[in-house]
Amino acid sequence: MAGVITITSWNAGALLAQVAGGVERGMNLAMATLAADAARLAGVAGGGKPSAPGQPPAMQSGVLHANIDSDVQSQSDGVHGFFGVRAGIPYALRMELGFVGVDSLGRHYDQAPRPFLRPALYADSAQVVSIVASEAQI
Amino acid sequence: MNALTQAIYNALAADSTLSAMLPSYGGGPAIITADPVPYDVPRPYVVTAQPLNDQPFDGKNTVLGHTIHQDVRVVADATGSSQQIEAIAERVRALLHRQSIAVTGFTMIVADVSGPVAAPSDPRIMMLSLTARFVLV
Repeated sequence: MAGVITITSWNAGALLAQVAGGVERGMNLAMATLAADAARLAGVAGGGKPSAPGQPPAMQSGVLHANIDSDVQSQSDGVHGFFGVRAGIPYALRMELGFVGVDSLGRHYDQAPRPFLRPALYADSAQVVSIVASEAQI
Repeated sequence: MNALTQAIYNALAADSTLSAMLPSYGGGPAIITADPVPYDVPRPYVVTAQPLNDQPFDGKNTVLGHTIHQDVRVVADATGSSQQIEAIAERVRALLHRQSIAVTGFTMIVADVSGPVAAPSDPRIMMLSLTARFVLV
């Protein structure tokens, strides 16, 4: 019959595996992009002076900057991308969200947020989608 | 104060329900629009100061609009109950989420709010942070 194509072999498994591999590859690239952008935001040397409230934290010791990283985990429910600061840097969350109160050393703070993670995410969100879609070829 | 922060302040300060939840400061409810917050502001208070991110979207030759994210933080004494701070945060969310607030010089297309999430504080104080996204043209 003219105009009719008969599918004799449907390689869904191979196709899905190819897409999943692409998504994981894309997610790795996207998270690395976000981590690099966050590190760029938090990588401006402060020379002992803090940044203005609301601006990314000025780099002092370089510990925060050096511990910005990304990770990708492929699980049964999907591919999950993460970027942030490695564990053991307690002031990272304070920088991102601010801090009010007395710390464990008895120092009083009314610290305004100096976000560096969410600005990177918001600025790069379209790029993240584009990278993942491109690698997955969807 | 930028136009968006002023608009957020106006929307929050005009609400009698939220105002009744907050102490007075500076002749109005304790809604602060600058960081750092002055030490004499009584808790609970609400603070929103500046955008987290301002992403313009461009046409061929001109900026068509902005997508702006801005935090609104709620700070309260730790009393052993989160009922008060959660009620304030929920009221802030209700006043901003999917609401059309007047921003001088712009038309608001989208307003949505995520959170609240718990922000760092010492055991005497609780802080919740909401992040609002606005699309302005």
